[in-house]
Amino acid sequence: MNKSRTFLFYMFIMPWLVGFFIFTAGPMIYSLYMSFTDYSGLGAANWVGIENYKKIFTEDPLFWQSLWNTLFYTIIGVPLGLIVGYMLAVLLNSKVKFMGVFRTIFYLPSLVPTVASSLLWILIFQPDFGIANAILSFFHLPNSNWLLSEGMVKPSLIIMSLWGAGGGMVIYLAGLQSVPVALYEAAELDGAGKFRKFWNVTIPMTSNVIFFNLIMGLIGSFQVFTQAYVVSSGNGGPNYKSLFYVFYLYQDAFKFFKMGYASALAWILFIIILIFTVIQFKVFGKKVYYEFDE
Amino acid sequence: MRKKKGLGILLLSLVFALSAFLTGCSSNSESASGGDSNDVTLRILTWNNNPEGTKLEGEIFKEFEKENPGIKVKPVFAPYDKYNDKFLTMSAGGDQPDLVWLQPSAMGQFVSKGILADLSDKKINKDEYMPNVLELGQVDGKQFALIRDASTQMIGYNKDMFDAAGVPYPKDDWTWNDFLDAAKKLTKVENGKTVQFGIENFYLSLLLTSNGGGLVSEDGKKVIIDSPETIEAVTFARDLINKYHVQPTSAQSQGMTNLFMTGKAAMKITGPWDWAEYNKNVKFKWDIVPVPAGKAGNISPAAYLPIGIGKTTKHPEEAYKLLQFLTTGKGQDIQAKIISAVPVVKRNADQIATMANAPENAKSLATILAEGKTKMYTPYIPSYSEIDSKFVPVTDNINLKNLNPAKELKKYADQVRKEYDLK
Amino acid sequence: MELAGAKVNAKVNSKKERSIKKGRIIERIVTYALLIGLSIVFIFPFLWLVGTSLKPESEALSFPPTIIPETWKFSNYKDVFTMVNFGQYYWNSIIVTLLTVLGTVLSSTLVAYGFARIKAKGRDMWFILLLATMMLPPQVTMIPVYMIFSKLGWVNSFLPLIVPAFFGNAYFIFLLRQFFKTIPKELEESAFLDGCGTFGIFWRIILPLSVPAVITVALLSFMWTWNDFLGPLIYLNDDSMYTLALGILQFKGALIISWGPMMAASVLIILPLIIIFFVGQKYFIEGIATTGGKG
Repeated sequence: MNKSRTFLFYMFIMPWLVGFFIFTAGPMIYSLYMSFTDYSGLGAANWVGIENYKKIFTEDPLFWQSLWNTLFYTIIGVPLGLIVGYMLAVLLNSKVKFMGVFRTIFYLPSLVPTVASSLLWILIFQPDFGIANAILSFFHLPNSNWLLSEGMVKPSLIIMSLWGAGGGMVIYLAGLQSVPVALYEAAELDGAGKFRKFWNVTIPMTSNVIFFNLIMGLIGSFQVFTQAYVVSSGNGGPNYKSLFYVFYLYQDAFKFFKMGYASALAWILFIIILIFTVIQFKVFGKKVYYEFDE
Repeated sequence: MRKKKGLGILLLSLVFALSAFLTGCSSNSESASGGDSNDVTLRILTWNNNPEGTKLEGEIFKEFEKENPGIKVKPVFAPYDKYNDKFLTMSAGGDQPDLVWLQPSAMGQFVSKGILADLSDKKINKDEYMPNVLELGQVDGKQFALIRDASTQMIGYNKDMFDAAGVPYPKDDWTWNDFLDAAKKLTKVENGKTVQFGIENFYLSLLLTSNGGGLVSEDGKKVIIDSPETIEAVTFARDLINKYHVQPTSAQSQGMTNLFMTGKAAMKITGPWDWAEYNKNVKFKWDIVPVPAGKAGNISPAAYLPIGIGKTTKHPEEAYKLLQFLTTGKGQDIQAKIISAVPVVKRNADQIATMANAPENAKSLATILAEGKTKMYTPYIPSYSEIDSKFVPVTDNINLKNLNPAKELKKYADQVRKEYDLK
Repeated sequence: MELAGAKVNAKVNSKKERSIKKGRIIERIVTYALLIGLSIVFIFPFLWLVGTSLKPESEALSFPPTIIPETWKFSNYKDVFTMVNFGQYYWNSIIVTLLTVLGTVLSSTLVAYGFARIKAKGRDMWFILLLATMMLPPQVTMIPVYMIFSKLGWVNSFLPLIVPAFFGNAYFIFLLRQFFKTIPKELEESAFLDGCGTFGIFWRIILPLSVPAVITVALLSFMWTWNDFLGPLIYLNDDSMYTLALGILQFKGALIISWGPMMAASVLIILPLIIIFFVGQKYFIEGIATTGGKG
């Protein structure tokens, strides 16, 4: 019985397994090898041992700056994104007229091409006449330089990311749809009010997708690239305060021809993400509710 | 239920049939030599300078094909800021194009890694070209690229605004002080807010060049970030914003790339590539004038397009024919009309003043080029791209926090010296 | 009606009934207010996009910025088709995206089922590996992957863009696995007793009960592939093969950017996505997933 289960398992994951060995494993090993060379992307790759790694940790202040920027963005942005996305999905799950229209509207921002939306955000955060400062002034709050301010540039980018919460929202919606109605009925029979229903039925029964968005949010946030690149017009922001790790890596690889060095940066990030993910699994993984928990 | 399974299999086979069809109908003759044993296909990697550029460049290639039956030109396009991504992957995959447009910031790397063919043994007549042009394609005296077009940036100004402020139009040999005077008179403040700026954005590279400063010396050996000329230029740039307020701060100018065009700035750095845009879209009278003179005179950085031949090309002779056509031959005669690219050959020097959309003072550009009053801004050393890129936050900081340029520049200069082993 | 549409037990007195009704009306009002308020916030970028697509170049970046153009320039939309090969790009995008979505859905569901519902030796190890493949920034594997496709001779065709989709997508495999695990084992067991094999359980039990999830995967896969430019950038050399996401980058020249046409192109690119989303969400949300009775 067990043997045939094992066989079945491998049969089902065969497409991914084959693809992994053809398209993924090789390149990953190749890039690991590159991280121990001085490859520039052109010409020869000479072995330099752990030279790159040494340099990264001891001689590269931008490594630490970009790592800090990315950590900040992740640790604050991911939980915020989870909550906002979930709340939006709950709101959009109510049975209200024209809900289809509302859902589409909420999903719109994540469809606008980054090159256009980043420009729009630059205009919104414009210190002199942008809407952001106009709103602050309306409430008699001090204005900010937003994207140009060393202190506010990362929070600004987090706000931008919340706008594009559409992707996660769609997944939550699918999850909310899959909660059996019978559970809500049973809860109401027990006298449960709105909040109780939400806390004891909705959240546990959607813990599977919450967990998913948590993990993927983490993995994705650590690799944030495009928005920061566009709003800082390729420079890493005021005094490098919005220089994100993968953007820094990309610059080294494709602008400064330091592919070997960039590969080392990539693998360091890999380890960091792996550790964070494992921690999430250990801390939250057990709390997720699956009907089929084998 | 069995229907569903059958449907699935049907879909799958349809898919694979389609894929096979797609493989067949695409990627024919991807290799540099075409299917025909007679036809040679040259691939040239380009970016586009303006949105219609890809289409228009194609017309020039078609002219070449007409004159050279048996050779086909296949342009491969990559967006400007993703250019290296495309080139590096093609190279690593053994798919290097036969010809390649070059970004000056990458020249040093390309040459040091042996990517480009050495053209030094080709018969190139220096006198055919305007002064200072051939050198733009040389590294250590060896010719690794030829230049397709070379012009420079100048100051474009709003004649109506000058008239309204009673400021005489700038003269071709004006100086930094003349410029500052004019800019001050053209800056208008109403109710504490600037409604009109003297200058939209005076790029630092122009101030550096006209004052004899820069980041690295032309021979690529010495760091001049903290030279007195550079410090002077950076200080002037900072003062334009913080002291004289004739240029918007980064906060004021964020997101705005056309203060000039919308009538909010009296002057702007422009090049011939902007002329068509202005004529189509602006509502005021405008003209151009050379960059004001610093210590080094009315010199401005050269804006140019080098084209090189990949060392691994299987058709070096045909490739050189195309390169010749574009940089010396018939291409030079038609490019001004087709894409407003300034020719580099002496025989077409008079085309500049009569180019479509040329403003009244276009002849000043022709004079600048004829007299060789442009300077190469990017020394071709492998590390230049990084040095230049990391210079920006340093100057941004100086402007933003009104720091002491001498101190900050010396700090960065020493960093660069140490990191890249320069003097 | 609201979330649960539950039938309330009739054993409540009329006072409670009235207060419940009042509560529901307030709830409705609050919900609508939130929805409309947030809608304004969320639709704003799209409105600005459309507005700018109809502005002439001199107005496109004027300050203060406007949403409604002062001068209307409808010809931006025409320019999109004359400046670049836009029609061809559209067709290419359709082919690449549809095939990719097909491959993704087919393979990812199969693989996710294995990870979700078949207990086997080594499964956890492979699952970690699956996740790990998403943790290495693709910028450093871009070149070696290209080298593989180059050796296969697939460069300058759609194959490098489409074929990998048939080998599963880690993100969607993980997502589907999360959904597949919420289906009770009892359903499997009864099907098994009826003589259903593992594949049969997959095809007849799990999939039908996971329609919202599968449609979500199809939707998201469509959006991503439609907007992906990196793959096309690296693998496509001929202008005639470009997809929309790559083609639109041509409006951003090195020296000149055409904002009007670029925004117009953006609108044209998003339009099908909006329609597909609007139609699609009706299917996976408003309860066509009633087969198998999860409710």
